[in-house]
Amino acid sequence: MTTILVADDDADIRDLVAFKLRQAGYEVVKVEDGVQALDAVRTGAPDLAVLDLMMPGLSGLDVCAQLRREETSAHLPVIMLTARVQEADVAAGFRTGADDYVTKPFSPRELLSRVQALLARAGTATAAR
Amino acid sequence: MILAVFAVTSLVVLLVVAGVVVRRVTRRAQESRVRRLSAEHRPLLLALVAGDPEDARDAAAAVAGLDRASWRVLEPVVIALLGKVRGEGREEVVRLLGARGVLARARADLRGRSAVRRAAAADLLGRADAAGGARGLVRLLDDRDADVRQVAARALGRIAAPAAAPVLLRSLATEPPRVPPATVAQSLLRIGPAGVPDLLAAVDHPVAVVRSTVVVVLGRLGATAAVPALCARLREDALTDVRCRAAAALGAVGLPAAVPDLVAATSTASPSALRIAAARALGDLGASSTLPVLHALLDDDDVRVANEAGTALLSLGPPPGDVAPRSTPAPVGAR
Repeated sequence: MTTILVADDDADIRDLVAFKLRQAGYEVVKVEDGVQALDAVRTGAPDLAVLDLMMPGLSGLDVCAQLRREETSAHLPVIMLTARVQEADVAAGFRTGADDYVTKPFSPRELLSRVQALLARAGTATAAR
Repeated sequence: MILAVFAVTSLVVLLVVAGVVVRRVTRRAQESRVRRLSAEHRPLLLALVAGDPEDARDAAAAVAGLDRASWRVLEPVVIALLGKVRGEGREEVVRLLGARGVLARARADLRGRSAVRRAAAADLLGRADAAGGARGLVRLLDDRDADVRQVAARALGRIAAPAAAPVLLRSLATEPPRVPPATVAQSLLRIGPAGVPDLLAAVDHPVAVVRSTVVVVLGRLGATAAVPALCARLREDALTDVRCRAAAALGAVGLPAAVPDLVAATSTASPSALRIAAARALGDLGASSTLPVLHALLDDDDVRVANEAGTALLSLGPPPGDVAPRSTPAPVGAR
């Protein structure tokens, strides 16, 4: 089963994202900060990560940058979920290696569509590698 | 006598201790009940906000029918969800708040005695995008409490009713402004292009803060229809600050029609701040016709003007067909 990591320090957001993804048939691992997110990727090898940009300890950007440095997670699809909508923030997200960007307040349905699209692209890319 | 005093004191102490203990126990029991009810109804809320349409409708009906005690626990959680989701989930939350009478209560609270209550009601109506509350929110722009006025201005922006634009601008026309200009600007930006006619009507307002706010918002909105009015502000405004903001706005809008006035503003007859703003705006505007002017400004006596010209040239890149590296000189400070 496809596993998705959801990292957000806001319990409501975490639960809403997890609910929507589980309803769509994905297995979801929820964590509440960046350190836990890195641990979860290293131990659980999810197929995609949804990272909040602003988390205590390690931010989503820090986590994303670290994931890209590690061989096992260098190609893990990452969606950044954040309330920061300034152009510079979005650009910083992409610079660190995020594959997509969803702004809060978010639409659960739109997030699901983006997850599905990214997983499909990642599947294609994996097959091509 | 001493014994009697001791006995009374002991009794008072005992009563106080007992009171504290009872209060703590009651509070803990209440918190535990809130946690239990929240956990019990959480799946319903998740289905309401993130579920498929059919599940969401079922969940909405179930939450709408909850007893008053349960709803009292859930209400703040539901209200908090308003700011976290958009789309269908948010619409379900708004419908639920309407069905439970929360929005009607908020509209009534806009006239409440407590400033906190008025501000909370304004905030909720704004977040719920409750257009029915717009009239009450407009009235709150004249509230005696500054925080309430600010919350009301923000809420009007969230509702984004174009009719709120002139009222928001009027709130800036007093000395001091009744609402902070940054808040008004944010709300006008949320209202968007629908507010442009009111912005244009106020672009030459006698109060400077109104003019400067209008100019900034028109630029951020990219209002092409505002270019002649912005050029007029750039040329004629009595305040250099407004002229600088007009230059920045023209750069943001990006129409070549503004180039002659921006070029004129870079002349040495203009104040230094305006020359810098105009050079930056020429770079933002991105028209290739500005290249000769920007090149000439590289040798300007004012290093800040020269630096802006260099940065502008860098952002413009080489003109089409020009491969000579000297067409993209470095900023003066970087030489």
